[in-house]
Amino acid sequence: VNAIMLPYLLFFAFFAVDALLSQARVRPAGGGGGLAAAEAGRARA
Amino acid sequence: MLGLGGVVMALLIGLRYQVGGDWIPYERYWQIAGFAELGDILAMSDPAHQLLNWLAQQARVRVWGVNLACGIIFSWGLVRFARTQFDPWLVLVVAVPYLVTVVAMGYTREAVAIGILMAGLASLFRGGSLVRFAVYAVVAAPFHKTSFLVLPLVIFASPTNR
Repeated sequence: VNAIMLPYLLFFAFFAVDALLSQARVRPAGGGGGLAAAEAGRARA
Repeated sequence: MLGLGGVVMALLIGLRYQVGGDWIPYERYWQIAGFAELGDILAMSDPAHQLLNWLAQQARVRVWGVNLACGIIFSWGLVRFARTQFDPWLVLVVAVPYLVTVVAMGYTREAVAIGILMAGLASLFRGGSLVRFAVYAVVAAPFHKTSFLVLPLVIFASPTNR
């Protein structure tokens, strides 16, 4: 891993954690989860 | 959380050392600000950046102080713009390889101007007027004069003027 990649990996990690958290928030209410449910959650928010 | 990302980004940009194609000229600007008169510095091109150099010299802060101030303004604009998009974190991820690593860490003055213009675009997307965006462009211009070039593009991009 080149040092110049570290900021990219850091922000990709931020993005991934945010995506996982938003999925986790949507799944219990919607039951199905997945991208569509996440999008529905975002639309509601 | 997005604000934390902005702080991390500002620190990455601002606390770099000998990074970026224009590192030496920017360090020279900072050195000149140490012995030149404020009026002479402001008469040079891109006066807002020269003023930051002068302020850094007055505060006895090295060139990283200027870079950090510029990094904060750029990151603020980028985060404001990202908040108007469907997936703000994706905007930041996409921005890192070129806009952050090459532009913000290489061309400090342009990056500040782009940051302010992105904040202006965010205001436009939230329903702000073109006049309001023009104010952002005017504020960005002392950092890089090419900011004015964005104005006609936004007028043509506006849905009401198509």
